[in-house]
Amino acid sequence: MNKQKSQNWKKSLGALGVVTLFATGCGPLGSGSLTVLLETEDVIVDGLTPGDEAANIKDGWTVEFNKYLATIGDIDLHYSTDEGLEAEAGDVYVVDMTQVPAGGLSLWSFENITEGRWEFNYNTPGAGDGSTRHESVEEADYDDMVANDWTYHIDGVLTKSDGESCPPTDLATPGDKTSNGNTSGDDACYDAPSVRFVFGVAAETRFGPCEVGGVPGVAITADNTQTSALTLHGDHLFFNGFPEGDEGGVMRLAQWIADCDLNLDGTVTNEELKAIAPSQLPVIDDRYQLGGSPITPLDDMYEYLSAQLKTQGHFQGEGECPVDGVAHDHGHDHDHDH
Amino acid sequence: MAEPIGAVGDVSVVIDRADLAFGPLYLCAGATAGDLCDTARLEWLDSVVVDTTRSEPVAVGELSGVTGTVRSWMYDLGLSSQLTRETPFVLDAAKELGDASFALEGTAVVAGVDVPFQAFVPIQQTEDTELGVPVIRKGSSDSFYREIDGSEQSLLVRFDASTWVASVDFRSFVTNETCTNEGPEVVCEGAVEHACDNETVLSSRDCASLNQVCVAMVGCQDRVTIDEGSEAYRSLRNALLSGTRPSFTWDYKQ
Repeated sequence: MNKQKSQNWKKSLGALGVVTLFATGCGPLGSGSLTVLLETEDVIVDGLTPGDEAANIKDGWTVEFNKYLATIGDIDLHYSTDEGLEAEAGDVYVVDMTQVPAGGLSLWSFENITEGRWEFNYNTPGAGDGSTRHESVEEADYDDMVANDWTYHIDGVLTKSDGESCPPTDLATPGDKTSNGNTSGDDACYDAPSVRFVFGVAAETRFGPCEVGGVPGVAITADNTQTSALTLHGDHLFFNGFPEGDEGGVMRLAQWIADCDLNLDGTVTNEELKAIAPSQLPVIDDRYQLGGSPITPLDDMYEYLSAQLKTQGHFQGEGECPVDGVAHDHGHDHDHDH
Repeated sequence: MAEPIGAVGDVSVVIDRADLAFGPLYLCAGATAGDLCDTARLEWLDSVVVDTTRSEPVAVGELSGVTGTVRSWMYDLGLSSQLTRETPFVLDAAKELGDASFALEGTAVVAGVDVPFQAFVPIQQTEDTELGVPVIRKGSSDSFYREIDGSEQSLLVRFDASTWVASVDFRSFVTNETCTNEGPEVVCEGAVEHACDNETVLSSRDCASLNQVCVAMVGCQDRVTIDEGSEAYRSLRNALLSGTRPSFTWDYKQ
């Protein structure tokens, strides 16, 4: 089934990722293949619902995504017992994650790689650096992504029957809107049963080496094709922290986005996020634990969003991939052929 | 921090006290700490109060562990969370600060009005966050790498609290109000306290002449306490968590 889908996507894309194999020496080991899928977390397709379960939004909002464009690819593998042995699929795609089928998209493949265990790394770069538009993405959106070198373009809607926006008073421009009498801290609130958000975000990130349950990377066996998957989660922008591993301790909250609608026009934009410091939002209170942020300092809510999006790359579903790890931070010379 | 600090809105701030409860500290093999660092390569399990107004380093203890690469760090600020407890352990350093992680005292000058202030900020995990995980972890903005071979003499961790204070907006602590119908019984007009009966001023006094500050709806006080729930408090809390990180220097020599 997957193989068939893979072939279909190969045709529709016209070209698959170019695979470069770097090998030093040879031995009696056999070789196999690896197909890499792009998977989407179901919340990107189905949205998030309010409730008390761990995966629910805790402050009553319902979330739906109209578009969730992501720039992803540039996969590199390192042979676990020989760092000098590498394989790379350098292609980067801009894909609308809301349209990724349940079985995933087959976008990359590696042929004739040495059997054994390989470390697995991938990237979510900016779209402006040689990306390819996937057919799920409209050309105008893609052009926007490339022009701004965005990693993500997210268009969604929050709904809640008694929802409200409570923008910081010092920054709010409510015009002729009238407060509903409620406040958040000292900030007046306004009825807002529906709030759209449209964000274009630069969040270039390297994920890896990835592991699942403590088992690193992927095992290749001779004369077989293994399948792995890059998984993007869609709920991290609602997290109240930056968990590196188990996400069981986090809470999902959406009110902060509603409170960023400074002009109360019903749509939250990049410009509004960039105008607001986290401390100006009373809802960013002690329920939020920002100490694990991958980027610091978090001067505004755009940086906060970017930091959250830098954590949402996973492997094989819930497998973990350290963020911006060894390759950018190992402090010594090493051969890389990205 | 002998020099005044420029805070938000061109407010000048002189710091009298900026004590930080630091520790425990863990150094990890992986590029990412937190939940992905089950076992630290090096650790210091104690805590100490760091006077961040001083530039001279103070020896606080010994790291213990094994040789090998360290690529990330994580630490608590005197309040150490455990998976088995909903509330963190209050370590000695935090106890010294009244169960807080950071104790800050100083004077801000807002539009010519002296505003003595104090803040006590606990930084801790709660049942709503990540129990069992140290609160502050290395991010990808932070550079950190060392091959530990046992020859290391010291590790200097240097905090710059001035950047945390600089993020605070003190301007809201000075108000210019007059007595109004259905207004509060006490208002502040800069440093002057007015006792009100609706629009009538019953009495006035200059808090500054008493070496005090006029606190909105309270009147003359020795200092403003930056309360939890205020924007200034959130600024300090966020700065401690996700503001400028400490620098780490191996084999520092005085």
